[in-house]
This record gives sequence, C-alpha cells and structure tokens, in this order.
Amino acid sequence: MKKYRLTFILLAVLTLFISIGTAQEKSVGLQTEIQKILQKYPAQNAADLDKLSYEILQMGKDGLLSICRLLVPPGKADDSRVRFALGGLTTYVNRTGKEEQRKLYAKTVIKALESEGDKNVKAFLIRQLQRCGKKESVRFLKRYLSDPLLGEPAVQALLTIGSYEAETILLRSLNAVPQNNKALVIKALGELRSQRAVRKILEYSSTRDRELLNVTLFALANIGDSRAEEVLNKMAVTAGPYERAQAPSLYLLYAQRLAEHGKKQLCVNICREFIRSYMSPQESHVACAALAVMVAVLGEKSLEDILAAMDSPSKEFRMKALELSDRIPGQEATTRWLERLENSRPEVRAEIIGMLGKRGDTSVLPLLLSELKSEARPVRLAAIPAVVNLGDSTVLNELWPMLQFDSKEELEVLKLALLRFSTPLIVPEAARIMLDVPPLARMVLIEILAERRAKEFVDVVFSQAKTEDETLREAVLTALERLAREEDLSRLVDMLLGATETREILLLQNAVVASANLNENKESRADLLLAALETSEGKTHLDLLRILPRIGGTKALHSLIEKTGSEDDRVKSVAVYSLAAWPDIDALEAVLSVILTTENPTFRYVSLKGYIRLIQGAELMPEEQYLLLSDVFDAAVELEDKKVILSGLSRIKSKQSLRYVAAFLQDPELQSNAARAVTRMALPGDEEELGLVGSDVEAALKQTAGIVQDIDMVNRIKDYLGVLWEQDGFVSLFNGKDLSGWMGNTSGYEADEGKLIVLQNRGGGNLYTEKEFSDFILRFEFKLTPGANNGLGIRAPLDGDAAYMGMELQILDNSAEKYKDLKPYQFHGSIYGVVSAKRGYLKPVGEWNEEEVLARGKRITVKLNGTVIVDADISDAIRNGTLDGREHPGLRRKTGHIGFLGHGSHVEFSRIWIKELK
Amino acid sequence: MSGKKLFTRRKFLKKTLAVSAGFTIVPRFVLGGAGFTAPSDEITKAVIGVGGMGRGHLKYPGAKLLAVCDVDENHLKRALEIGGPGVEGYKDFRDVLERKDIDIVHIPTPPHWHALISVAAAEAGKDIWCEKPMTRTIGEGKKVVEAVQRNGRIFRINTWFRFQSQYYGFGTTVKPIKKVVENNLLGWPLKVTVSATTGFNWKFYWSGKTFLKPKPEPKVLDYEMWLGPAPYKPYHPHRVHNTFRGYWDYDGGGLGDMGMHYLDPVQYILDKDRTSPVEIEADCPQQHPDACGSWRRIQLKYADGCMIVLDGENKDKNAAFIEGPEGKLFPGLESDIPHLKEKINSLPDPKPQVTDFIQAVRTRKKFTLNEDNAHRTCTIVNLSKIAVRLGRRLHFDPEKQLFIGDEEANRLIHQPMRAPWHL
Repeated sequence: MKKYRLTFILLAVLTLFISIGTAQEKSVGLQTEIQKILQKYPAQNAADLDKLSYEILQMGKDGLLSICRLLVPPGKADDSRVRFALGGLTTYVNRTGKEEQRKLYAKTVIKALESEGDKNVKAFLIRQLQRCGKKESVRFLKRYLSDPLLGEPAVQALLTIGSYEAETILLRSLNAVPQNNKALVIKALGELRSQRAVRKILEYSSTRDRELLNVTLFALANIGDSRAEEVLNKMAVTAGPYERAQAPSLYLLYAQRLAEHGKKQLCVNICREFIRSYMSPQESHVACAALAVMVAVLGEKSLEDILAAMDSPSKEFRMKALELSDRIPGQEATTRWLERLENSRPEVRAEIIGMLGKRGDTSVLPLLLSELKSEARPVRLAAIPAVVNLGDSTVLNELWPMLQFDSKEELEVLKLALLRFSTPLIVPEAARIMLDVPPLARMVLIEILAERRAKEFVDVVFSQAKTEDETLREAVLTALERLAREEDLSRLVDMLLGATETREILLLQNAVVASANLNENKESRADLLLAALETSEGKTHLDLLRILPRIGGTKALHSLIEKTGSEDDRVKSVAVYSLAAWPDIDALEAVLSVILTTENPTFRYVSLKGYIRLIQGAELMPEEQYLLLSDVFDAAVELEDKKVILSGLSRIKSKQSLRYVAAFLQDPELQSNAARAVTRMALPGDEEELGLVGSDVEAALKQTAGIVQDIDMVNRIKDYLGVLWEQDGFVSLFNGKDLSGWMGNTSGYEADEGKLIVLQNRGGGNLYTEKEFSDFILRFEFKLTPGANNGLGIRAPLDGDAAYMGMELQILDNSAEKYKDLKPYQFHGSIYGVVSAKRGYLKPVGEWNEEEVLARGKRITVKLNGTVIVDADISDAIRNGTLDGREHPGLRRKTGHIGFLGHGSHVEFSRIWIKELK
Repeated sequence: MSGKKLFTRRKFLKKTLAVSAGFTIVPRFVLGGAGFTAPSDEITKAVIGVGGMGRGHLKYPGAKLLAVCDVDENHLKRALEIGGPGVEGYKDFRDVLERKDIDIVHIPTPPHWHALISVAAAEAGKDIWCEKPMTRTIGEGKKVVEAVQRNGRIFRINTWFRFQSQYYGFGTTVKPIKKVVENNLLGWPLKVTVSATTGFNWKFYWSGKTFLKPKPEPKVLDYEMWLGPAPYKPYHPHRVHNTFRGYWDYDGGGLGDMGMHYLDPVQYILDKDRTSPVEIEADCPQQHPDACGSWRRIQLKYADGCMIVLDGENKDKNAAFIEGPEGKLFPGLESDIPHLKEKINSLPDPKPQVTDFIQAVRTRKKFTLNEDNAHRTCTIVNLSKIAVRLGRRLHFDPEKQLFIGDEEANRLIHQPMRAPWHL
C-alpha cells in the first residue's frame, strides 16, 4: 500500500517536471528506473546501500540530477526516500577510491542547487556538500553567503572544506555581505585563524552591534595577531558585564596564540600579570587559566611559577597548580616539591602530599610515612591514601597503629586504605588487634571483617555483641548478617529472643535468615525457629513469625497456617500477612482459604495480592493462571479487591482472559481498570511480543478506546485496530502525510499528521479517490466544526453533482441553528434526498466520530458511533419516487469514486479504511 | 537567522578608559559592584534547562538553588513554582553566568547546548554538573575538557554507576566487577557485551521522524535560542522537548540517552579512562540524514585487543557481560570460574573515588566522573553514532582524537556552530 502511494507522488512530481519539459522521451525510461531504485530505500544494510548508490551513479549525471530534483520543500510531500538516497550517496562517494564519483556527485549537487527554488531544499543540498565537497565546491558556495537563510550553511560548508580558496572567498565577501551576515563570515575567518583577515576584521571592532562585536573580538583573539592587541585590551573596560567577564578569557586566548606564533615571552608576561591580578575568590579561575597557558608555553621552565602558586590564598589556584605539576616529571622537580612541603602550613602541606601520592615517585615515601604522625589532622588524612598509593604492604605496619586515633573522619579514610590490601594481609591482623583498639576503631575492624566475609573470625565479632556502646553494637549486628555461619543459628536465635530495640531486632532477623538459609536441607532450616516459636510469647513470638516467609519449608508453612486460626488477634494478623508473603506456590491453597473465609477486608485484600503474586511467580500456563485468577473473582467483596484481580488478569496475554476482563468495560466503577487491562493484554508489547487478534479483541479495543483518557494510548489502540483491519482485508485510503491516492480539488484539502483537513478558506471542493469502488465497507473518523457541512460521495463520477450523479451521504453538524429547517433527508448520514437517517448519534461538535458505510449492491448501511442510522435498499426507497422529488440517476451506478464533497467548511477526517467486497 | 535579539537585553556601557600598553586589568569586583559578595559557606547553584530532565535537577541535594533558566516560558514558570521564593528565572543563560553568587551550574539542556554552556560556565568560574551525553561531537568534548581544566573547574556528568547503585540488569554494583578485572581473574584482553542478555536494554523508541510538516513556532518557546548553535530547520514539536533525541542535530537516539550510563562503567572496568577505541564498526539499517534510526550491532576495539560489543538486537543469547581468555562473567556475578563470589570477597578494593560532588567543589578535588573520563566515555557514544551514520569500518587515533583516512568521519568530529555561537 505504502509503496503504491509513494510511487504515485513521485510520478506526479515527475509528470510536472516532464511537462515543464527538457528531454522528454529519454527521460521517461530514466524516471521509471529511478522510481524502481527509490523504492528500495532506506537500505537495510551497508552492502545494499553500496549497491543502490552504485546503481544510481551508473545512471550518470542525468539520473543524479533527476533524483536531486525530486526533493520537495519540507512538509509538501514525503520525500524521505529521496533524502535517504542522497544522504546515502554523500557517504558512498566518500569511500576510498571513489574520487571520480565524488566529483561527479558534488558537481551534480551544485547544479541542482543552482536550479532549485526552495531555500530549505537548497540548504539540504549545501549540507551534502559540507559532507563531501572539496575544492570544486568552494566557488559555488560563494553566491549564497549573502542570503539570510543560506549564508549560514554555506559558511559552514566552506569552513568544513577549509582550504586557502575557502579562506579567500570568505575574506573577499566580508565587505559585500549584508550586515546580518557579517557575524557569520567573521566568525568563520576567526575559526580559520586567518591572518590575512585581521586588517578587515579590525574594521568591525568599533561596531555598536553587540553580536557582531562579540564575534569580532573572538575572531581577533583566536587569530592572535598583535595588531588586535589594543582592541582586545579595551574590551575589558568598555563592554557589558558578560563581555567584560569574557574579556580575560579572550585575552588569554590571544596570548596563547601569540606564543604559538613564537612570541612566547610576551605571552608569559601577560600570564604573570593575570596571575597577580586575578586572585580574588571569584576570579581565581582566570589566574588558573593564565597559569595553565603559561605552563603549556614554558613547559619545565614553569616549575618556579607552579611552586610559587602554593603561596596563593586561593585553594582553587593551588589545586590547579598541583594538577599542572604533572607536566614536569623527574627527580629534580620532586626534590623541589619536598623542599616546598617543608615550608608549608598544614592545609597546603596536605594538598602537596595529595599530589605527591599521585605523582608516583616512590622516593618521597619515607617522608610521607613520617607525615602519618603529623600533629595536624589534614596532613595525616592526606598522607594515608598517599602512602598506600606509593608503598607496598609494609605500609600497613604504619597504618595499624593509627587506629588509636579517635576521629571518625580519619578512621573512615583508614578503613578505605586498609581495604586496598588483600584479605590475608588485613583480616587476621584486624581480628587479632580487635580488642586492643578503641570502640570507634573496633567498628572499622568489624566492618573490614564483614566486607571480606571473614567467617572464621565470627567469634571475635560475637564477643562484641554485648557491648554497652550502641553504635558499636549496631555495627556488630549489621556485620553478623554477612559473617554468620550455619552453626551460629542457635545463638542468633537466642539473641533475637533477648532483643528489645526495634532496630536491633531487624538486624538480628536479617542475620537469623542469612544463617538459616545456609542450611542445604530446606526442610530443616526453620526447625530451630519453630521450636523457639513454641516457647515464645508476646512480641518475640510475632518477630519470629514474621521471618518465616524468608526461610520457607513445609513445616514452617503448616505452623504459619495454624497460626492464622489463632485466637490472639495480633498473632492471627501477623500470620495472615506472613502467609501472603510466602515464597512459593505451596501456600496457595491456604491463602485462598483465607480469602474465602475471612471477614476482615484488609486480610482479604492482602491475601488476594499474595495469591496473585504466587500465581505469577509460579511457572504456570496462561490457561492455568487464568482459571486460578478468574475463579477467585467471586470472593472479591470490595472494589479494591476487584481492581487487584483485574490487574492480575491483565498480565495474562490470552483471549480468554481478555474476554473475561472486557465484560467489566461496562461497569462504571471498574471500567478504567478494565480498559487498562485490555490495552495491556491486547496491544503488542515492547519486545516482538505480538498483540491479540480476533473480532472479540477488536470489539474490546473499540470499547476501550472510548474509555481511555490518554490520547497517546487512544492512538496506539487505533493504530493497532488498523493492523487488525489490514489482516481482515482492509486497506488504508489515506497515508496521513499527503494526498497520494486522491485526485480532484487537491488544493482544497491538506494532509497533516494523520488528518485530512478540508481547508475552509480554499472552499474544499470535491476530493476523490483515484480508484473506483463498487461494493465495500468504508470506515473513517471525522470531526466537525460548528455548522460544518460536507458529504461523502460514493459510486460517484468525477464530473457533475455527486449527490445526483452518484450518491451523497450527508456529513453535517445537525446541531447548528441554521440547519433547523432542513428536510429529514438532509441531516447527517442521510442518503441525500433519498433516505433519511436517524438523528441523535453524533458526538458533540469538536469530538471525533466514527462512521462505517456498508455498500453492497442496492443495500446501503450507515453506522455512526456504533449505531445503525441508515439501513436501506435503494430500490425499495425510490419505488414511489425520491424524497426530494428529483432525479437521482447516480443511484443506478454500480461503481465509482469515493469522495469528500466540501462545501466550504472546516472538517477533519482521519483513519480512512476500505475493504472491497467481492 | 542568527539571533538578532540576543544582545538587545544588555545595555551598552559607554565607558572608555585610557588604554595602556599591557592588558588593562579591571577586576570584576572593581567595576561590577552589585552581586559581588564574599564567598559564603553555602554552595549555591543554578539550573539551565528546566524541562523534563531539568526539573529533576532542581531538587538534587547539597546546594541551594538560586536561579533557573529556560527558553520555554512554560518550563520556566513550572520551575519557579517548584523552586519557591528566592529563586530567580532567566531566559538567557548568559545572564545566569553573570551572577557572581552562583557556584555550580547544572546543564540539563538538550546535548547540542552542553558544550557551549559548559565552556561559558567554566570561563565564568562556575563548577559544572552536566547531563549526559556530555557533548554532541568529539570536537566539542575536547573543547569542554580544555576549558574546564584551564579554568580549574570541577565538572561532573550526570551518571553514577561507576561508583554507586545497582548497574542496571547486571544485578550488582560495579565494584565487584572492577575487582574481578583489576585482579586479572578473567585474563586479558576482554570482550564486553552490552545487551539485554547481559542486563542492558537498548532503547530504540528515540527514533526521529523522517517526514515532518513544519508548524508555527509556539509563542512560549524562543525557538531561535532553543536551536542556538544547531542548524536552522523549520519548527516541528517532535524536534524539541521530549523527542529531540531522535535528531542528529541535537543528539543521537538511544545511544545518546543510555550510552553513557551503560558504557561509562565499562570504560572504568577496562581501565580505558585515558584512551579510546581504535576500530569501530556498525551493522545497521541506513540512517536518514536528519532522523536517528535503530541499529543492530556496534563493535568497538581498543589497541590492546579489548572489545566492546553493543548488541542492539540481543542476538547473542549466551553472551557473558565480560569474557576473557580465562573466564566469563555473567549478570549477578555468575561465572564459569568456580567459587568466584567467594574469591571476590577476599580481593583488595579498587582505588577510593571522590563521589560527593559538593565535597569535590569545596575541596577542589577532581570528581570521580570528571571532564576527562566523561569525555572518553562520551567519545565511545560519539564514535558509535558516526559509525552508525557512515555504515563503514572506521579507524580512530585516540591521541589526536581524529579518524585515520576518513575525511567525512572527521567532518563529523568538528561541526561548525551557527553564528554567533562558537567555542
């Protein structure tokens, strides 16, 4: 279908060109060939694209040119295949060994560019040259430099192509281009760093046009010619705040360029002056930039400047200097840094140590090790990671004693440092010294043991569980989840039985679960807990019950089921919740039994959710899932119960399930949930998951489209309905993009993103299908404006009044005041003048209506928004003459065009489908 | 077409001072007056670009929001409502950068603006929190790295999987993976497969439309400024806001959206933060010149033989996330190496990272995911985009950051901006 339509536009466009006429006959053959090739775009892979591009190039210049001329202005028609073809060629001719083809292609693009009338199309062609043009294209780009729209792409293409010629053309055009285009030419000359352009660009340096001035200053700075110094200098004091802020950056750019042109000393002087002047807190980034430029220029000779930077009050500047220090490697520089270190205050000392740690020069290690003992904490904090970076495991000997410090921050850094070593190096020692370090440090050691799962040392950790120190105790309990062994279960259960704090109970529950689940025998995992359950009471009893679902096993399940019948409300409640959270399908029956018997709405709802989760988690066939879920619906009492079941059903992609859910589309309380479920089940999914098909699916989806509020979803549903109809033999009459397939007064109608719009200001007129149809089912949607009047012509000839020479099914805003005196056979849906339609089924003006017309022999049926409003046999209807008393010779026609008969009002149509009946 | 209105908002300062031989140093606080305040302890921020993505940035903790900026009045209005009192709204990001009381600039604009605003922010002395993908082209990325480093700024990109959170469908954080690789348990070189099988679904719904009918520009949107450095194309709502990723002028489809999230950890794991792939090849349908489409497979090789495969079709159902000569690593740390999970526990930690951006701003320490390595990650994304667009094998020089023997590919590394915008 699509192919058919595209061919049509292309042919239509071609016909136009041929009639304008250059080389007619020969070109007809060529055009057919081009059509054939274009149908194959976009290519599905690189090899196909090469083949297609090769074929096009074989057609030579004429073929290429014809293709370029098939481009149309944006939105006029879908020329995307042409754009695919040209884009593909642009890339193809850039392959190695294709220089001849590239030249031919570039020259043809230029030729097309010259004869093209639309500027957006021209811009597209220029962009092809930007990708594949070389010398040959340069002089042709010149003529677009003055154009308001094309100046930009032309300059960009010249800039990309580069070359002396491009520079010359830009330079020569600078005076000639209109004021609005000067900025782009100057910017390009600046980016090309055109020394030749300096004198001319300077002429614009006193402009009052802010945009132009900004670009001019950038260009001058980037070219870096000393003739521009005065201008760049002045900028700092004359411009607006934003430009003034830019001034130092531009001036430094200029200085950098000076150095590149050999004027290194001048550049360095500027940088030094900048560093002196821009050190206030909010300007030190300028000093940073100056230092960076200077280091780039001076290389190793900038060491003194970098060292001096450490005297700056700005941390930002010092850190920048330290970062730049890596440009000056070597022992000599390292020595200077050590000297500098000696003379620095703690903060700076710490910064330098950080740098030395990254520098990789291990000769500084002894000194850094001694810094671990510094009085100043920032220094120690910096030294810890630094020695780990530079040293080997012997560093550990210096780190362990530091656990005596009691600052949290320091211990955290220490922990990260220790964790940089492998387990044998740190775990035994951590366990050994555990009791000798202060509580805060002990926490760090416990965390290290846990991180490394050092189960062999779990006893040391257990030994700390009774500590009075709450944070330490929390660290212990947290670690136990990772460290507990299977054999630790009984002491963990004991601890749990004795715990009173909520947080501790939670942590111990985790540890108990972890330990119990290490038991390979699933059935005996819960034994200890069940024994404890027997003897426990009160809150402890509940805490034990709560963890059973995380362990599982038949005995535990039975125990839990028994508790759901408990007299104690709290026990019962925890048991019901725990049962609903059971990990496997074994609990299904028990959960169902709660659902069926409980009178507590919360229990029912929770159990329903658990029931659905269990079913979804088990490997069941969709039919089984469906049966289990639909069965439970009768047990639902509250609305929420029903909603949760519908949502469960929505995950089952089967027609059975869909039919079940669709029944609730009429239930006002559940219809929006049912609609959501229907879309989820029926529409195709993300990953190659097919949608459901069948007439019941279609019916459910149509109903759903009327319920769903989200317009995107409505469109998705309707798109999918189109897919279903297509399978049923319907074809689309309207591609949504252009009027291919239609003829007649095409200028009175417009295609716009799926809508066929009757243009009020152009009168509309009659728009007919190219094809003729005799017996068919036609489906379409339409939207009226107040007082709108249109008509649907069927079996109509192209000439004459379709209402008489064919048949016109009226399209009308019945509600308009001005139509109140019309005859019954003139209202919406009526076969004009012949059969009157039922009224009262149009949606309010401004909403979309759905209509279906069945034409089979003499029988005409019109269904509007689901209701039959006309069902007539034409022969019967005119047996005693027509209603309007006029001749309707068209009623005898067996076939003809389908058309929209515009009467000068704005009406929109969309989704127009037809199925021919044999 | 170049924005004529851009500068009218500024008053021309008619000040002419004597010009001396050297640069007339006029520190800002001398001229500037208003707005110059002593640095306070509270870190402050502005968010530039407050559409769908940007609204998320408003509430990131750690810094006080002072300003929001957008070229769409509706976005601005909503952001101001969320921001509450004390937050000012701007239409032009340069007005935001003029404010001296702002420390950090967030840049959740579409990617075609990232480089320009990042460079301008760096030159204005701001630290930067930029959305992914870092830049639209490799050339722009180099400029951002230069400007950030030259001006001593702290920069982060808004992805985080190398240092926190579960790494998508892999099922664990990145740390244990790094440990396995760093301790050479899998051997070398390594092949990484990024696909639905290994936990990473490529999203192709960001495709652009190949046929758009121009629409009138909405009054609330300054389309000229929205385009900024991007080529002028007639307006259509699908080109902007929530769907811009489908167009090469602004981004690169699903690669632009998820590429850095998925690939930054890969680069970290393979220890490639300072280099780039040398050979890139893509298997895909032909791409439209304007609209991004889908792709089937992209393969990127490093000089040492390591390889990253982006399997968009999820074709290799048995793929390991990482495969080396001595073993394979699957999601959830499953492996053919016996007892791998226990082994991981006993391995030393990777180097600690600076993971608190606000802390990095205070201490001036480089953030762990900074301009350097983010640019390299984004380069993987940009190399992939170019390979997809050109459909041929490409060779890349990671040092010069240029393609070898492919002029057209190099033209996609440096794409001129629309005047008056420049880097």
